[in-house]
Amino acid sequence: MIRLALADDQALFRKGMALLLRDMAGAQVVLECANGEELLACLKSDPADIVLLDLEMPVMDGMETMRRLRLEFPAVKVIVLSSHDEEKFITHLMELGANGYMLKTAEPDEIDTAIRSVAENGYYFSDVVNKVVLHGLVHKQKVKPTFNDIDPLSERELEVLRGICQERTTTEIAERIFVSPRTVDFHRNNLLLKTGARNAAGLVVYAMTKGIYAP
Amino acid sequence: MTTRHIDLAYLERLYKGDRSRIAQWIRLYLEEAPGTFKQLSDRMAMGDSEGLAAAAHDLRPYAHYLGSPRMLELLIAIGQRTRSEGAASADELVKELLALSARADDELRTAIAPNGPAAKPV
Repeated sequence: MIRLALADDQALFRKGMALLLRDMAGAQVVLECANGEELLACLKSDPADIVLLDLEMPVMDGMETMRRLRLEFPAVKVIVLSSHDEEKFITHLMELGANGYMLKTAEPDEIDTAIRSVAENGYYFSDVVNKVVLHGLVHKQKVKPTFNDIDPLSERELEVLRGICQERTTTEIAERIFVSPRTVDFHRNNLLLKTGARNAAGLVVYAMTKGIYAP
Repeated sequence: MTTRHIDLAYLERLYKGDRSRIAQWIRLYLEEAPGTFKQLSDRMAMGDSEGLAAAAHDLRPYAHYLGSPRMLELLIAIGQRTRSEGAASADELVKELLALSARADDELRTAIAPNGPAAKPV
């Protein structure tokens, strides 16, 4: 069962989302909070697996909440659900360690897909995030890969990284490259150490910026 | 389910045609939205440009949910106009928005009335 927490100061959005998720198979809304401070306090007694986090909230906004979540609840995954589609917000939140970023106007099916993808693979990149990352690539002219960029990663690590980008589970990656799931986890940890990424979402951003993977 | 000022197609997709949940969302909207629109109108009266632009931004998802392109246009225009020329410059836009919101509320009440389109069983 995926335990979900909603943090949004707008009661209508929060309740409407809870109404939507009420019948989602394998998931349950365990927390509804109006700001980040309330969320952090409640998570101590009511643990959640995934937080759907708004950015603009009184008392403690989504950005500060994201920072605090990474420090105090590193295992909790976060999908930012915002009405801001500006690059500066998306980039900043992904750098802070968000596992996904979606617009509040996303199509209903996408919300379901995002939650399941984050639960199973650790990240979800919506079209809006893909566009921002690609836009950043074009402007920084980093699309063309060089061997020097890729050198720090071994061939095995690159295979695991591509598997992560293709939303494959640890078991699926292990089967494809003929190693055990534990070995895949070992390579995944090395990838996090070598790239400085905080989670699978960060690894995908790394792969895209280095030209290792294109969506 | 298209009416004059709103189109509930998004809500239909959101709640997979479940009339009961669509009606619940509409009731929630009718409870919460007047306060949010009042906040916007208060910011306008206070000449608070940043507050007005932020309130208009907060309302954007609901224009999308209600299927009201004109409401969305007005909210975007209010935000842009307010930030570039100040709150007073958006006076006419805010008036049109409030009038449109009132008409949308009427249509939503009709939709959840006993024989309204959102009240029909699936």
